[in-house]
Amino acid sequence: MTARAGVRSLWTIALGIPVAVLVLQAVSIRWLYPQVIPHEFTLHAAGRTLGAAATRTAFFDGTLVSSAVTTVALLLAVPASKGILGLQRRHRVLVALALFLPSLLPPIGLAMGVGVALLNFGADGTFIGLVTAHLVVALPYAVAALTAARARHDTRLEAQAASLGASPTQTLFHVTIPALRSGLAVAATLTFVVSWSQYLLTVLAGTGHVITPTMLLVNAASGGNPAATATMALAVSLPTAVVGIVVPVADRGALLGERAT
Amino acid sequence: MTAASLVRRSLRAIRRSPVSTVAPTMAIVGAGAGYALVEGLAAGFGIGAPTDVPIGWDAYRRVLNAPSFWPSAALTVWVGVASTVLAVTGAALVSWWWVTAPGRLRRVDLMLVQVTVSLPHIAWAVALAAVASQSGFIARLATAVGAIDRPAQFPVLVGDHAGLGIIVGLATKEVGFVTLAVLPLATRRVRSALAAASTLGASPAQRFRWVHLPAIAPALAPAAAAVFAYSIGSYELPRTLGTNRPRTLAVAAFDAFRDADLTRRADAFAISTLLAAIALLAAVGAAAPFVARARARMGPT
Repeated sequence: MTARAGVRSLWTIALGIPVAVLVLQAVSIRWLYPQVIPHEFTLHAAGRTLGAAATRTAFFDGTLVSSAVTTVALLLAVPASKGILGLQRRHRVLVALALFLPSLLPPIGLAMGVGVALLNFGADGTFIGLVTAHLVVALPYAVAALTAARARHDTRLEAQAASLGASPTQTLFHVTIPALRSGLAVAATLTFVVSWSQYLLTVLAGTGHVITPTMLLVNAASGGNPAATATMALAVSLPTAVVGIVVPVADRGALLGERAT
Repeated sequence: MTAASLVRRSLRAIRRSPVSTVAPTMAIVGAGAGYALVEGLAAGFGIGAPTDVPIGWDAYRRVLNAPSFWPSAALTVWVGVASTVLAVTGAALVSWWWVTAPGRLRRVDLMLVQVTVSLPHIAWAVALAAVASQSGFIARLATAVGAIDRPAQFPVLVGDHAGLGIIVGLATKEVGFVTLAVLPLATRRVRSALAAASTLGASPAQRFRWVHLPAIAPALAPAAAAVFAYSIGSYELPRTLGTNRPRTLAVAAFDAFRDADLTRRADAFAISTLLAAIALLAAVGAAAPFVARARARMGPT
């Protein structure tokens, strides 16, 4: 077995066993120690958890928030990624540092600070406030993914389209977006998932007005219903599966460092 | 030149410059995070507090004098350092094995890394608790093969005082994050440098130390700083996989922030400012060798 196959197998086991145990927990009842495999299977708890009005509202609200975050992030990141590549080197370093700042701050402090900032601006508990709060941490992912995608594609195409008489809108829809297709897919999925997984920012900046599935899961985790918790954990992880499929397919070359030169 | 034409001209200049396209993003991310940092700093001193508290070091004094503070601080730094070292070492090794193995990386490899990175931390914490607790899946397997008779004989890995559960949870998640950060640097050029080193008689350990590590270091260092900041400041995972005695500082800050007694808010910000200071110091430490090298490259001025 090669080292690569070894890493692959180990990683699959480390990731797969906990997820498999969650699945078993979600579809069983009275799965008590020392049963290795549950004796009684039922979809009752899972159905009740997913069918609850609170769950459905949370999934609707969470999807709405993360979709809004993704949309705004893409609208800002498409021009920003172009601008960054046009900056002088030292300015680019400054922008990169600023974009990296949220990642260098402990999440608890960032969330509390953003929460109070929204309070000062009277935007706490509002939808726009929550979306803005999520953008602070999610937008850098969109910008990074699109900057990387732009760096790989030939920017002269846009200049060429313009010189051939294409309007900025035509250039955007017929040249830029098709060329950045995979970058856009990566940026969108990453941004969505970063927003979707936020707990601290949602709780502290949303001040409890918007309940997302991730918040329900954190609450469930401190409760005593393993089947309900496991069901929520799997449901909350659904967007992860989308990322796991979209990103490797769309961004294969980028991640492998096999840049088109 | 009239004022109107001056305004028109400068607007046009701004529109043409790349700065205008970057500005909204910078305003949200840079200014948002910067404002949060300053706000936290101010709130720790009681500035702009929701209740009438004196401005000064009171919150810091309360926080630092609380008997629970130092055990919490020790646990937090231990969790941060251990998770970061494990995640960084893991990512360095994984990227090394991937670069040196023959053939191309398969899509499934990237899929595994991506799924690991994008799983919500709380979902991973719940899954790990189900596997590693004293009555969890591993304990049941151990019972089935006769290694233990009852849950109490299984080591405490979830909710333990040394934070082992938290460390395992964070390290296993973040190893994916760091791997993703360093992979783009493990390029073909590095492969040919590795091959050259091999031809010149370098052992695998030498190639890892002198070719692979320097190649991935520019991404490894910032990723390590980010993992450290995340590890000391995250909430859901330590709350689920940790214990209350001691709590990590982030959990303590969260509890103080949500306390019904609003004066405790200043304490929460004092704790979070201390955490931010530790994280930023670590980031400066991670960046220092690169800055020094860049200076050295530029030569004496």
